[in-house]
Formats: sequence, structure tokens, C-alpha cells
Amino acid sequence: MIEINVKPKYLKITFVILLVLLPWLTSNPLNELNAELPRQEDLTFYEINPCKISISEFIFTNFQTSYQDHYQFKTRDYSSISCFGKIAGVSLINDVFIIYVGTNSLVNLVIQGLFWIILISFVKKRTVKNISNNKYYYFSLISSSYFLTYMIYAEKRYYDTKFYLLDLNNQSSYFFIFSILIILMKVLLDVFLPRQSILINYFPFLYLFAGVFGGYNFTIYAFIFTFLGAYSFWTKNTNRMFNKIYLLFSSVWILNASNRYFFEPGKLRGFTSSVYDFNAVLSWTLFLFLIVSGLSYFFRTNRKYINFYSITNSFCYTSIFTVLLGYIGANFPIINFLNYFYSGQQRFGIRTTNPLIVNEWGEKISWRGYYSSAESIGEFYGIAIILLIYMYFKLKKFSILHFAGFLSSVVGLYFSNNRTVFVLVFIVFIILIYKEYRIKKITGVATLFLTGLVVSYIIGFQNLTLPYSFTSEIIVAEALNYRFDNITSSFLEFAIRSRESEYIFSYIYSFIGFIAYLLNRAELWGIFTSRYNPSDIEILFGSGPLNFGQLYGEILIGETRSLLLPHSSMLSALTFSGLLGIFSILIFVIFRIYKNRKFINIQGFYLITFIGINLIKNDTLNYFASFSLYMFILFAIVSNRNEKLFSFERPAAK
Amino acid sequence: MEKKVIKICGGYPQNFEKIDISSNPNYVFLNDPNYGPIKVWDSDGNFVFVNSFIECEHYVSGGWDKNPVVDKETNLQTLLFSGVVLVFLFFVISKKYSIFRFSKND
Repeated sequence: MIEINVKPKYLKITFVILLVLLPWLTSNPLNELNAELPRQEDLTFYEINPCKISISEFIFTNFQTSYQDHYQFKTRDYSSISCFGKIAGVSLINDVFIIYVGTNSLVNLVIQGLFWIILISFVKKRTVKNISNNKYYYFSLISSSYFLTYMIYAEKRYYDTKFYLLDLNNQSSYFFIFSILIILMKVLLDVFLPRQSILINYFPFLYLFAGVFGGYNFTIYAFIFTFLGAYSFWTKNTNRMFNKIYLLFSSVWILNASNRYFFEPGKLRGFTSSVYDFNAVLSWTLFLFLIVSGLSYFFRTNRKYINFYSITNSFCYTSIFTVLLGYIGANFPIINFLNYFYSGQQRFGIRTTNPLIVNEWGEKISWRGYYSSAESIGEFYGIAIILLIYMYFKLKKFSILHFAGFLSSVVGLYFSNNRTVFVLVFIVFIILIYKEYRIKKITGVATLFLTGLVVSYIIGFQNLTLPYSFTSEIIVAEALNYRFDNITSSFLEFAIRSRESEYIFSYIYSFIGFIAYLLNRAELWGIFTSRYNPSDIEILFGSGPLNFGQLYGEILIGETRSLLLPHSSMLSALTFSGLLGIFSILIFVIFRIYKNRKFINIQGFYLITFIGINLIKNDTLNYFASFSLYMFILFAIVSNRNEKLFSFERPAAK
Repeated sequence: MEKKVIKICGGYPQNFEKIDISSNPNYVFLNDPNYGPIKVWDSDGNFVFVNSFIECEHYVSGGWDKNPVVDKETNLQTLLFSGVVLVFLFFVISKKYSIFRFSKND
């Protein structure tokens, strides 16, 4: 036996430092080239010498590129292994030098995977039931690794542009990928499983570490939760009713997937399919099943360890770091690059250096900072503020961490310009003050009036003065505006017809139009109406989970200013699972809330309402971090005695 | 060499007879319509398209090869794969047989 005289913690820190430094120091000592500074009039140096200069050499020679905002570093996943960490090319777009750093999807898997595994290993172990010594463990390990490999096969067109010279028509390539995936998954599970009871309170960190592998359309969390999903399935530890209903929906989705449409996942990478066809629908149907089963199993197994004091601390740390790293990343291109690679972001952090920027009409422009979506991170800050307000009212004190977390959440929320969250947080705050200090009736009325005034101000006074007949028609008007060459989607056709014949649906649709106008969603929901073209079966069952291929590929519409997602999780759910899917989910959630109503207190109810209202107007369903955090909060509130949950007791020492 | 020819050019056609092309400087390779063009490289990075098995066999026998970039990348991928597997096995074995132990004094 060899004795190592170093604390494991220091060894891990050394590994982390090596993983952060070494990949970018890949310089060739025989190379006599000097890293030239890209100039507007001449970019030929990097065209002639791709993959010769390492990024560290480049930065040391041209230090201004690390902080000047007309430089931007981007990864180029389709590069040779030998090109990793070297400058693969430079281009000039709109006066910004885009410096492409060679990265390789296979190497990314190893480096990013190891980095995140080591980070998880810093969390102390607390052994719960050991599941790693039974046949189901190995069966689940093999089946979930195989499944992730199948996901790559199902989205071959996407991965063809990500794997450099790896022939995806050759079976041995899949064996190669499978082998790396299974090894990585095994190591990850060895580290994760003994710490899962503590990690359950670390959910907010998903916003800090999105965990998307460079060049892949899945995250490191997919490893964990597809495994747990498979394990719960093989051990028959799942909800049978859910399985049966899901099987019915799956059969319809898979049998219905006869066409092929492509979709660039972009900022939804890791939680949306890049193609709509038979294999992709099958794989993403299985993926969602495994993820939901895995999350559910994880929550159930560790339910008694859920602690809102620890969760609020995690919110604080995440808020502080997302605001800080977002701001630093916006000002230092090299930090932006490192943020992207080491946190596994879906898209690079924002490059707008001023978070207080306003447009020509003096309106605040949303600033997403570190995260992919301003709206989602705004909701995150909103929940952090609500939890901290709860905590303050309960404990009557704040630590420095809580104060810093509160401050950064307020600042982050202001930067993100999510007005709905502002309104909801403000209302929660007023109600809690009202309850806590037993305010007199007259003061209560005055407060209510003030609240109404603030809400009206945030929505915009002029928006409330427009006639209902105008605002209720606005979605259809926008939809017609975006219609291309009289190509009319079935949904738009239905909306026009029902408006003319005054069915009950026309009143509902008019009201939705009014709400859309208030929420500033009229254009986006109009575009959705223009695009959405379901058949009879699809309006009932949807076209398959986490797949926008058909929605964005089937009907040609007029040009939009960018991709523009539906901006409503309800509309996403309608696309994915149809009306029956939405009703099934709603019935399930309402039933669970009703069944456990005795456990749920006012704080729990506010949080559920907060999430419910936001789901109407956000794209949360399409980001893994928000999807799983909301699922976690709902689970925690519905399945635990809220009085205890919101008592913010410190977790017991080991 | 035969193996290399089969790997790059495909299997030898039935009744294939090797012609001594080098002794005939005026020899012209005829395109085989049933043979998909293949790109072969020399050591200096020059490449040619060959349009028949005879032509391919001739070039490959003369030292031309597959794309060196693909070869290099395949080798690097194999190296990466082997490295990952070996490191993993090393840790599994060292854990099983408790080869390493962290000092308790630290």
C-alpha cells in the first residue's frame, strides 16, 4: 500500500487548477510563430496558421484582447484533438473580432465531465441507501449510457457538425462514444450517489452550472437523472398510473412522427431536440420519461433531507455568482469564454457591458448577464427574494450571505427587467407585511391602493386605457400580420373561424388576447398562432416532448427579428402534449395540492402561484434548470409539512 | 500491401490480373463506371482521385495512402479512448486492492 501524505481536498484543488489551466497551454515549443494581433485590414495570419497558436500564447502576447469589448472568444467544437485550446480562426463580424478557439467534442466530454465531477466531490458525503451494489445498478448504468448514445444516433445531423472526423455512419464510432459515456457515468455516480442527500439542497446551482457539454445536446445532469430514471423503472419504483398514461401518449407521438423537420437548439441546448423525425421523437420521449422518473425518484428518496435554509443559501450563492460573473464576463471576453466552457452554458454570456441600458424610448432593456434567458434568471432572482423575505420574517435576522444574496437578487432582477416577477414579488412582500404586522383596515386599504398603483405603473397606465375590443383581438391581428403569402396554419384558421361564429372559444381567445397584451406577449403568441398547425390528433396529444422541429418547420411565416420562442410554457406544453397533456398535468398538480392541502401553508401557496403565473408567460419548460427547479419546489411544498419547511431551521450537524 | 489495398480500394475484383503499368509510360487508366472515385494522398499531402480499382491498386502499391489528416485524427481518438480506459482501470484496480491510502495525519 502506498501512503499519500496529502489531504484529498488539496489533491482535488490541484486537479481543478490543472483542468482549468492545462487545456489552454497546449503550445508547440518548436513553433517559432508569434501570435499576431488580428487587424481589420488583415486576418490572413490565422487563415494561414490555424491551430498553431495556443490561446494562452495569444492572450499573453495580445493582452488587450482579454478585456476589450471588440474581441470575443468562441469555441469551435468541430476541431481536431490536436487543435484543442489553439486559435482555429479569426473572423470580423460587425466590428467585433470573433476568435475561434479549437475545442473537440470528445475531449470536451472528458475535461468538462471531470471538472464537474471533481466539483461535486467537494461536497461532503452522507451515506443514504447504497444502490451501487446490485444488478439493477449495472443494468441501469448500461441502459442509460446506451440510451445517451442512441440520442446521438437519433440526432446524427446535429452531431455530424460537432464530431471532427468521427464517422457517425460507422458502428464502431458509437461503441467508442458509448465506452466514454459509460466510464464517465460510472465515475459520476460513484461521486454523486453518496452525496445525493446533501445535493438535493443544491438545486439552485443548476443556474450557475448549466452543465451542457460542448458540442452535445445533453447535460451532465442527464447522466444522473436518466440513470436514476432507469433504476427506478427496473426496480419498479415508479408511478404506474403515470407510466400507463405516458405510454399512451408516447405511442401516439412515435406513430405520428412521419415527417422530418430540423431545429437549431441554440439557447435551449441540452433540453430540446434538434430534429423532428421518428428516431428523435422516440429518443426524446424516452429521455423525458427517464428524466421525470429520475427526478421524482431522487426527490422521493431524499425527501426528508430537504431543507429550505440550505436551499436559500444555495439561492444566495447562485445569485451572487450569476450577477458577478455575468458582469465580469460582459466586460472581459476571456472570462466570458471560460464561464461558457466551465459552467457548460447553453449560450455565451451577454456582451452588453452596461446592465442599465435603455432603448431610444427610455425603456429598460433586459440584461441576461450570465444566464441564457433574462426571463428565467429574473424568475430565479424572484424566488430567491421571496425565500429571503420569508426567512427574514421568520428568523428576524440576516447573515452577511443572506444580505449579499438579497442585494444581488434585487439587482439581478432589475437588470433582467422581468416586470411580472417585480409585480409578484411586490405583492408577496405587501401581503407578508400586512399579515406580519396586523395592519389596521384603513392602512390596509391604502396599501392595497398603493399596490394597485405600482402594478398599473409597471404594466403601463396607457396599456390599461385601451378598449377591450382592441386588446382582445390583438393576437389574431399579429398572427395575420406574420402570415406568409396566405399560408394559414390550422390554429390560425380555427381562431379566425371561431371569432366570426362567436363560439365559446372566441370569448376565451379574446380574454387570452387581453392578457397577452398586458403581459407584452401579443406579438409572440400571435407568431405562435401563425405557426402552430396541428392535425386533429396533434391538438389532443401533441407532437412529442421537447421538440420544436415541427412547429418551426412545417408552416412558413413572415420574417421575425430572431428565433422567438412561444414565450409561454403552456403553449410549449400544447405543442408537445396537446390539450389532453395539459389537462392531465393540471389535474395531477391540482389533485396533489388538494390532497395535501392541510400541509400547505400560505408561503407554499404563494410560491406555487408564483410558479403557475410565470409558466403562462415564460419558456421555462424548455430549460432544464428551471424545469427541474420548479418541479423540485412543487414537490417540496406538496409533499412536506410547510410549517416545518418554512421554519428555516438550520440543517442538523452530521 | 494486399490488406492495405483492400482497406483503401475495396476487395479485389474476380479474375483480377495485375498489369505492369510502370513498364508502359503511355498507359491510360480507364474509368470504371461501377467504381466510386476515391481520393488518395502521398506523403507530401498531394492527392489524386482514382476512378477504377486498377488505378487505385497501382497508386496504393506505389505508396499513396488514405487521408493523413483522418489517420492522424483516428490515432488521436484511439489514444484518447485508450487513455480514458486505462486511467479508469487504474482507479478501479487501485480502489479494489487499496493500493493508495491517504495519510490520516494530514
